[in-house]
Amino acid sequence: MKKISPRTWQSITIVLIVIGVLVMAISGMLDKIIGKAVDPLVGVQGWVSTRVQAIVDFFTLPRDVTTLMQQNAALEAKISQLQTENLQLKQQLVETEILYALLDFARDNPENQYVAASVIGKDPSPFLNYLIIDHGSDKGIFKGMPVVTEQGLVGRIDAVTASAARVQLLTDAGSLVNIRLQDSQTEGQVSGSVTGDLSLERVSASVTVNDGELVFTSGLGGAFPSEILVGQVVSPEVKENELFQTASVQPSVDFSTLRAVLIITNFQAVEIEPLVP
Amino acid sequence: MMLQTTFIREVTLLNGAADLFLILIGAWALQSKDNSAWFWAILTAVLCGFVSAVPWYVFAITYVVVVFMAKFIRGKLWQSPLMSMFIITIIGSIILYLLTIIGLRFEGVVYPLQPTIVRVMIPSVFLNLVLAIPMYAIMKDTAVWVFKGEVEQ
Repeated sequence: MKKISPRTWQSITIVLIVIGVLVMAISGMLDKIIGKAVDPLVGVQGWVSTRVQAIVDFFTLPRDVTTLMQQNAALEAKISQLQTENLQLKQQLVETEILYALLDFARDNPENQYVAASVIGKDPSPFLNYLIIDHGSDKGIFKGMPVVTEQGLVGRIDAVTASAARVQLLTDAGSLVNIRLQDSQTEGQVSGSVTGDLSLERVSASVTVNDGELVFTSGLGGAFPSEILVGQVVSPEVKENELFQTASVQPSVDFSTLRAVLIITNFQAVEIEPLVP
Repeated sequence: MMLQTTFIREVTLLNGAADLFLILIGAWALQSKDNSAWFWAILTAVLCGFVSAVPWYVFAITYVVVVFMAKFIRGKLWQSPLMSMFIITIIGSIILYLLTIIGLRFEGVVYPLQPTIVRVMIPSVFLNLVLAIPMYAIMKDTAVWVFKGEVEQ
């Protein structure tokens, strides 16, 4: 039998020691010993690392500041862009809500055909209550067509170009609408004024008109279709020895915030002036 | 025109609103050394007459009168140009609004005098006066820039 050399015994011993140490380390028996041996080294390592990092920072910080400033500027630009987008989206949301309201109104009144238009300006003169809208004869809009919103009557088309139109509002001093009062079933007229206020006219003094009574178009005269809401009666007043009573009318449409309107395109106003004696 | 029909018409005092064209034409006529103010007056009158429901001749007469006044006053009140601007603005505004009332009367719209003066005319003249100062300054700078080449030649 071949004799095992001392070299081999040495190797086997080393392997067994290593395996033993590994087994002891894995089983946690050497934790305390390793901890005590490593702790000072970790402290030294931390100390060296901190100093090295400080030296690296010292040399690289100016470059980092420049990079940070660039990143900051880029982020600020991004914030501005996002804020602009946010505003645009909010604007679109408002417009969408308006259009949805107009769409609901159009669905509720399927007997009419509508063209929706945006309000793009007002008449330059302060004497007139006119709007300018962004659709004209190219979209089938013609003079005399009634203009409404989901809230009620706005006015009528006064002049048209191919791509724009001018709308005379109810509140204009030259506007006169034949109306019917809902409760008293009486007919009369609503006229505008230079101040933008609406007044009720031609209602007999003998008729009882209630505060808050709804006012609708009567359709008489052929200028507007019937049954479109105009507003509500406010403060009716009967004066002694007067044939007609007076009242203010609160318009159902808020003209100050008007941004989109509907034009009733299947209604053609009747020109009755030649028939008036 | 876009500024007038959007921003300027939204800035109201009672029912009055400023007339940017009147002020711009007046300021330019006071500053310009050539006859371009006449051209701008006619062009603006045509534009306003096209957009507005006010008869076109109201703007044409007013703006031509404003240019005439500015050219006339310029030689008389040369030491106080801002005063000239105020005088032109006040007289031009009154002419414009009176002619508007008359022009619309021909169209069949009657304006009651008292509310028209109190709620529209006086506030509008006031707003025109407020706008006159910055517009005068802008037109003065514009005139210096435009006529600089001519002076150098």
